[in-house]
Amino acid sequence: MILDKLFSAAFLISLFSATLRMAGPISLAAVGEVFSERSGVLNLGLEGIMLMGAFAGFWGFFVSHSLALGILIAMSSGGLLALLMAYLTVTLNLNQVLCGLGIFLFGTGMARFLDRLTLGGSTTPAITPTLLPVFPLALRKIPWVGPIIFEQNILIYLSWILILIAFFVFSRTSIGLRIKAVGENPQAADTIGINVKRIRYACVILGGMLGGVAGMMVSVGSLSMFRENVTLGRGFIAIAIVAFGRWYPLRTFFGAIIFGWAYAFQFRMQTFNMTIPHEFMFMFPYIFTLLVMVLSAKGYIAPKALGTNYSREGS
Amino acid sequence: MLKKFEISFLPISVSVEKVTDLSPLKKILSPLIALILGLLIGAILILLAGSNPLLGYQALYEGTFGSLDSFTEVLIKAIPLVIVGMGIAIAFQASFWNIGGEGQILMGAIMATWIGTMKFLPAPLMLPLILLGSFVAGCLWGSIAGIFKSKFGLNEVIVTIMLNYVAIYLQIYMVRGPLIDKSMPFWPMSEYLPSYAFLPRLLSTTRLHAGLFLAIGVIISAWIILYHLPFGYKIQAIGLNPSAAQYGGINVGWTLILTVGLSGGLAGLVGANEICGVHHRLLDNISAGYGYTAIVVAVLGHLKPLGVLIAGFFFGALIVGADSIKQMATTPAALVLVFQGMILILVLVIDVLFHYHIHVVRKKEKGEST
Repeated sequence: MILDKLFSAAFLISLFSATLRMAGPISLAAVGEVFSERSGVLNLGLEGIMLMGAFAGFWGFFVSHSLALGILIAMSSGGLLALLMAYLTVTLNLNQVLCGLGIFLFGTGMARFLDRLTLGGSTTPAITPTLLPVFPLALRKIPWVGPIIFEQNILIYLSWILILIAFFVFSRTSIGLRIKAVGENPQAADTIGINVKRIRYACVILGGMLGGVAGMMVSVGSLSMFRENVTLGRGFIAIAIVAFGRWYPLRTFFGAIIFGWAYAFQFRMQTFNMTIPHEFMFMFPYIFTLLVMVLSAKGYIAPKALGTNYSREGS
Repeated sequence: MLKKFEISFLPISVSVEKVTDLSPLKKILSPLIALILGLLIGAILILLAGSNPLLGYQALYEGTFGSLDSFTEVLIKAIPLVIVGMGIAIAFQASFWNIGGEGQILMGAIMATWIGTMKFLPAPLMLPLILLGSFVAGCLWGSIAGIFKSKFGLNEVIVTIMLNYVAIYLQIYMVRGPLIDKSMPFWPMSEYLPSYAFLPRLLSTTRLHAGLFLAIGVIISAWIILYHLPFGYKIQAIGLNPSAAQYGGINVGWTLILTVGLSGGLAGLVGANEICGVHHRLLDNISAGYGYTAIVVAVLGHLKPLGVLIAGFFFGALIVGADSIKQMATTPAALVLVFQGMILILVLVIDVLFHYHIHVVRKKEKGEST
C-alpha cells in the first residue's frame, strides 16, 4: 500500500517540487561557501550568517513590503558579518575555525536579539505574505514540469540565476582562475602579482552575501516567518556539501539537490503514519549528511591553502 | 621580526616587534580586557534595547553574588561549564575542534537516566555506575568524530555538529518513548531517579551538590594528564604540528581518537551531573547550550585548567545573572549568545595584539654623535 502511494503521480510531483524548494537555501549558501573556501578561508560562521540574513530579509520585507529591499538587506547583513570574518582571518590572521564559531554564536544571538527588539513586542506573530508564482498559468499547467519547475517562489529562481552567474565567473573567467590560484598556493599567486588579501576579502564577503539571501529563502521563502534557529543547521550542512561537491559550484548545486531530496522525503514520510517515530525522521538529514561525508571522503582534495592564513612575512 | 615606522615630522620612530610567547601578566590581562570590552559592547546593546545598562549590570551582580542562594546557583551553572570546558580545552590543545559538547552531554544524560531507572541495581553501586556509564556514552559519541577525522579526514566541526542534532532528536525521542514516566504519559519527562542515585546536597538550604567536587577533580586530573603524563605531551605535540608528531613516533590517529574520547567523556559526565545533581530526571533542554558556551569558556581560559576554572565560573555567573534580569525588556538569552560570540572573537584579537611589542624611540638629531 505504501508502495502504491510512493509511486503515485501526486506524491512524486510534490516530492520533487519540495526537493527543489528545500535545496534552494542550502545550494545558494553552499555555492557562496565554495568561493570562500576556494580562496582559502573556511567560513564556519555560515550558519550565523544565514540566521542573520533570515531575520534581516524577513524584517526588511515585513516592514517595507518590498521584496527587493528585503533581499538587499539580507544580502548586506550577511555581507557585513562576512566582512568581519574576513577582517579577523585575512587581516589579523586569526584562527579560522574559532573565528567562524565566534561569528556563528554572534550571528545566532544577534538575529534573535534584533527579532525581539523589533518585532517581539507585538502579540500577533509577524508574517510576510506568501510569495506569488511568477510564471503564467499556461506554463504552470504543464503536467509534471509545471508544478515542479514553474511553481516555485521567486527567491528560488533568483538563487538559480545567482548560482549560474557564480558558475560562469568561477569557471569561465580569469577572476575564477585567480581565486583558485590564491586558494591553492597564495605565495605563488602573490609573486605573479595577484592581490591575495583582496581576493580573499571579496570571496568571503560574496559568500556572506549569498548566505544572507539563503537565510532569507528559509524565513521568507519557505515559512513566511522568522523563528529562533530557523535554519536548523543548514549552514553547516552547506559546508559539508561543498566538500561533497569537490569545491565546484555546479557539483555543489547538484549535491544540494540530493540533500533537498533528503529533507523533502523526510517530511513526506512523516505524513505516512508509519511506525518510525518522527524524531528519527528529523534526524534523517543529519545522519544522511554524515553518511554522504563518509562515502564521498575518498579522493577528496581540498584547496591546498584552505584553512591557513597568508601573510607575506612568512611563518 | 622587527618593523620600523618613521613619521618624518615627528621626533620619534616606532618599531613593532613580534614575540612568540606572551608574558604571564599579558596572559591574565588579555581575557580580562576581552571581558571588559565585551561588557561595554553589551551595555551599548542593552541601551539600544531601551533599558539602562547600569541597572542591568547591577541586577546581574545582585542576581549572582547578592545572596548565598544566588551564589550557589552560580556554582551549579559553573560546574557543567567547567567540566565540559575542560574537555573541550583538551581536544582544542590537540587542534581537534570538538564542537560536539552539546550532543555528548545529552548522550551522557540519556545513559545516566537509563541506568538510574534500573531499579534492580544495588543502591551503593548506583552512583558510580551512572557516572561511569555516562562517561562511556559521551566518550563513544565523541570518538565517532575522532574516527571520522583520523580514518576519513573529515572536518570534525561539521561531524560533531551533525552528531549534536542527532543526539538532540534522540533525547527528544527518549523522553517521549522508552524513558517516559509511564504514570504521566502526556509529559515528556522520565520518572525521577531513586534518591540514592542523587549527587548529595552540600548545603541543606541550597541546591548546591557534590558535582562541585567532580568539577574540581576534573580540573586537577586534567592538569596531571596534560602536564605530567606522556599522553598530555602527545596531545600538545599533535596540536603544535601533527606531521612532526607523527614523524617523532606518535600515533597521531589513535591519540586523536583517545583525546576526543576523553573530551566527550567529560561532556558525558556533565549529563550525569545534570541528571543526578540538578534535575533528578531527564527532560527537554537539559543541556541548555552548555556545549557551545563551554567552547567560549575553553578559549577564554586559554585552554589551561586553572583558566577554564575561572572562565567557567564567570560564565556561570553570567547565565544566572541573565536569568535575573529577565524582567527587563531585552532578551537576556539572546544577549548572552551575542556576548559569547563577541568574547570568543575579542580574546583572539587581543591575544594577537599582545604579541606585538611596540617600542617608541626618540629620533636622533642630525649631526648628533653617538
